[in-house]
Amino acid sequence: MNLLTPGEIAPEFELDDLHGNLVRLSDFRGRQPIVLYFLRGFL
Amino acid sequence: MKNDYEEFQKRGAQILAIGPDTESAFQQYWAKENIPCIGLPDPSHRVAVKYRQQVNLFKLGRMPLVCVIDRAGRIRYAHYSASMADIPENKTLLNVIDQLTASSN
Repeated sequence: MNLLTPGEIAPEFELDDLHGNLVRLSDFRGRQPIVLYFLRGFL
Repeated sequence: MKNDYEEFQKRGAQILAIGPDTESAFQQYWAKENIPCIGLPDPSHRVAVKYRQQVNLFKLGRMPLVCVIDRAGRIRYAHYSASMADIPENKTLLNVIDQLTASSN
């Protein structure tokens, strides 16, 4: 499977935050750069 | 990340943290560690798969991944960790954001 590389459009996603609000990556388009951390898990 | 959160904020960047744990596990961890950024539980791994976050079969977990995405929605930096401890330094990420800002002026 090919890894994502700089220059590609970031895949769109939507997830609920910890307050139940739907967060879409596209919500930030044109507004803010994003640092996206994918965690390993807390356990 | 927590320690330099203000530095990211000063640069207008938003930090999103996606993880495989449940919402309740996220809430406990976020409260315990007083984490200021947006936490996004992804227990079905839907987004992790989309971003090709790697799986370490030996450790039965996912390997960390960090991306910086510019205002146009384009990936400008991607670091797929080679080990669980292989996390880019904040100054590396802040430099990427500074370069984005410089190139847009």
